[in-house]
Amino acid sequence: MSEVITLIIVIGASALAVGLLVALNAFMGGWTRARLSDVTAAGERIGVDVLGFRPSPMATLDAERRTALVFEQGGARLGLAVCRGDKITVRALRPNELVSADAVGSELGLRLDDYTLPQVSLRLGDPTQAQRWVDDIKAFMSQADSKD
Amino acid sequence: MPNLPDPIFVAIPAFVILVIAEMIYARTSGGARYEPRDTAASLTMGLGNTISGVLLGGIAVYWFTLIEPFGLFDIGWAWWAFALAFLLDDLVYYWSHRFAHTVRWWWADHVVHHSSQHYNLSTALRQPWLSPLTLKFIVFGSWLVLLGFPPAMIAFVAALNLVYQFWIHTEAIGKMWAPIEWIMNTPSHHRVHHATNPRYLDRNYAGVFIIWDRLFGTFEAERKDEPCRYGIVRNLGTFNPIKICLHEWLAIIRDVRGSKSVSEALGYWLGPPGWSPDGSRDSSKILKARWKARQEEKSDPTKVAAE
Repeated sequence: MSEVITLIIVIGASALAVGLLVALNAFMGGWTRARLSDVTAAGERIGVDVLGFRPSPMATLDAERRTALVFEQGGARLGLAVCRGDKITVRALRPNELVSADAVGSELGLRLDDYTLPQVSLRLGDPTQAQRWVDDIKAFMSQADSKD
Repeated sequence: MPNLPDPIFVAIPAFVILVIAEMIYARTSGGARYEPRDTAASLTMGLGNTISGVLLGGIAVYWFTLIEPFGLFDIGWAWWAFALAFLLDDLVYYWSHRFAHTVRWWWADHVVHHSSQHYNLSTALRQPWLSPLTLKFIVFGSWLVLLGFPPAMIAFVAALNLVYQFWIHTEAIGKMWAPIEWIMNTPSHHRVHHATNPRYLDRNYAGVFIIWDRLFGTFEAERKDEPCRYGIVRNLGTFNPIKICLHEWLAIIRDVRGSKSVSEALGYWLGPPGWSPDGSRDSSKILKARWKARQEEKSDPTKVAAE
């Protein structure tokens, strides 16, 4: 019984230590939120992480410069760059990896078939632009349907 | 049997002090980077690994107790036996680690450790929760017991091996004195191991001695002209520890369920990470081949023009 109590105390103290280290990290700062300077930089970044991805000019960046969409030349894949903390996570999506695309006002929302990155949203310039991207992405997604 | 301490338990205060020291170094010099959500995820994975060790570690202990009587020799507790066990355990670690990168079933567990895009001392503690369930200890952990080393001695030297590996997870230390770099696993060698640059993929599996990589052809030196990009080929879009723990397991289940044949299912389960029947996904081998082709194109543009 005493061993169990000791174990609980050790685990509790460890959890507290974890919390304190994270708090110290947050308090000290020293990292900068990642931002994408423009769509060209976003396309280049996707090309670095996904070897062989060739960005096309058909691209957009959200207002906060934290998320970008870049179609590949030829339209086989839709590149996605998402800033997470001080790092950037990248995807080169095939049509079947997209579940849905919707626009609410100027906000473009994507749902992905991706366990660790299930949804992404981008605040674009205006509702028309958001709707145009929804249409383009839905046309892209229909390539998967035509293959079925 | 001597009363051996648990080296990891003893080292925990040093781990905490060194993480704080590296955080301060990161803040003051910019020579390392910490981000709170990433740090929280790594440390939570480390804590969960300790808890799962308590809950699931008994499986391995039971197995080693079961096979101990079949040991070829009765090696005992001499000092040289500790030294030999440490060396042989490191060799076993090399192969175990190599298979953890090349068999998806084991990669699903080990990927947790590689899933941070940061490389700092907290990354060393980002460890999986379900390791005993992969049964890797049976395949790789049994050899030394069957040779006749006492299981407690093996557990002790294996823990020392892991303690050694803590400090090499840092960008704060550059290349060290050449003889050390030649023999030992160092921060420089291990940065390469954590990098996703195609040149660096599946390289430097060593635990303590880098000589195993030199011997078995998997060594790659860190290059100034190619800074390491850390993480995995398809980086995670989450800091959620449960998702970090489970994502590759769920991906295997999904792929196996969608398989069209038994051989396809086996490929998804036991093939290399990124394997697919039609080669449409990116395994290390495919990425390296694509990268090499591009390097050749760059060095000989006429070849591309001719094609």
